[in-house]
Amino acid sequence: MNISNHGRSILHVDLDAFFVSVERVLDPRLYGRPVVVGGSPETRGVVAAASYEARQFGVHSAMPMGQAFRLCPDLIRVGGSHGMYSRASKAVFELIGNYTPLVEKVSVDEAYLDLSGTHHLFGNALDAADSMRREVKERLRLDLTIGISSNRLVSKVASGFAKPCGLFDVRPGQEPRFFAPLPVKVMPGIGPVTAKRLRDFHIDQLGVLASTAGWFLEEVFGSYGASMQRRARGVDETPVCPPWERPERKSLGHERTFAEDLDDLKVLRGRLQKLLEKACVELRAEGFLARTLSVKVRYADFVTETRDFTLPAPSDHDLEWWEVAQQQLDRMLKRRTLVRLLGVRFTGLERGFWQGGLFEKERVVQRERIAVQDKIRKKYGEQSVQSGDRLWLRNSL
Amino acid sequence: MSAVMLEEVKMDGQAGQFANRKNTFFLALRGVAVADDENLQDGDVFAITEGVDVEVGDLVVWWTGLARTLALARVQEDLSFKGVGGFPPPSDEQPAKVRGVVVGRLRQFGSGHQGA
Repeated sequence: MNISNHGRSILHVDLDAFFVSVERVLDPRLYGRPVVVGGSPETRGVVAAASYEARQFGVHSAMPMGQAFRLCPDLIRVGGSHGMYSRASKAVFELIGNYTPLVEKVSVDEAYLDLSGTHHLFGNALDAADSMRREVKERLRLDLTIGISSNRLVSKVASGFAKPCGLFDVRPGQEPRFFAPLPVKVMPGIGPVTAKRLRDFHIDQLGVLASTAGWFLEEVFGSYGASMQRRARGVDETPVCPPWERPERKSLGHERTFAEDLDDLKVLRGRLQKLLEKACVELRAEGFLARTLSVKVRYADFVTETRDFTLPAPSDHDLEWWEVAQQQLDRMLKRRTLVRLLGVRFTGLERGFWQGGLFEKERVVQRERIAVQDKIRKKYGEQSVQSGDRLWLRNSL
Repeated sequence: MSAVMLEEVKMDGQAGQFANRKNTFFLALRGVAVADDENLQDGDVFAITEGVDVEVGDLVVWWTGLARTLALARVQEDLSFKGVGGFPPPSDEQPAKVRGVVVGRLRQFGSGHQGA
């Protein structure tokens, strides 16, 4: 028997150029062409995802769309549909969830899986990963890249090796040898500043970092030095945390940078209400009540102002929070400067559902209405139900 | 020799960073391997480190001094070599030297909409 079956088997699963791949499933004419998903250059849009063909021109995510078009004039831009990406992601996670319940979703297109102990069901981790990849490809026509090893850190680096559309399996016990020749910057947690500092000391490869005297690293980097060295040896004991084992959230919120800076109070209120409704839907979906709401305003000159308000009793109710949010916004907008960004954030979260008073009939009806709205939004998307105050926004911007 | 063989390959992209030292390189498997628990497949690429100690359970590349004789074997409890995937183990007549230890295996697939 392969000895790899005895230890931990952790997979890092990454959907290749996910948004672009979903768009290609919907429109096969996009295959083989430089494609980006993102906002239009006229509205200060940025690249949310780029195909490998576009990346060859130097286009990458978070790049301003105008710059992307200058680098690659033949670029095809797709506006993107986050509802569709969310559904595709859900379908992928349902499939890979058949291999293990221990799935930690890191983002819409990335997850860690713990396959330890599943050898008798699916064979060794490489076979299971291969089968998972085939299943996702055949049923959803999406490509997976998978890194396999005995821990999360090494699997994450290994999946980077396998891109695009491959598997990289680091044999158990070989983690330090796998890491040794790699540049320090490939290790998660070492950013450009730390990498440069390490290079200043002629520590340019993980093997050199792993064998550098511990006292020296602690002297230069403090307690992070020791942790960095342990990781450079390929050691990571962080468990894969499925949703039910994840630490409770401490806050929840959304913010939005506008395509054009705004000064119309009515428009700003509409935008704020949209952000607030979105956050309240998430509060209810995750079974939280919030005690405090922070409203954030960033002006065109980048001056940022935040105001907090705490309710006497926690709530997840749109209307209760809307009254508060509106007041906060009105108090804040005193500067004669355009607004660049609005945000809302709930803190003081606790488990529970808002019920209102037992004899407050109107509130009970509101509760039922909100529950129905949430169901419709879940099925048909966020835009399917909108409050009257927000409807006119569609035509105003 | 067997119907399978190993040949040195250069890798691009991030994977290529592994082979930026003198003692690290990649070997690709060519040919149809015999099915066993290593489940080797045509096109599998092995990341190899040479000049390191060999331990029980390691997958190693051994040779007799000629590139054509590169072969894979697993180190067993009694420190003997067991051939894998159709590669024969070293014989008494062929003095074998360990060329390196397999630290990882890359299996890559064509991307596209024509199926898996």
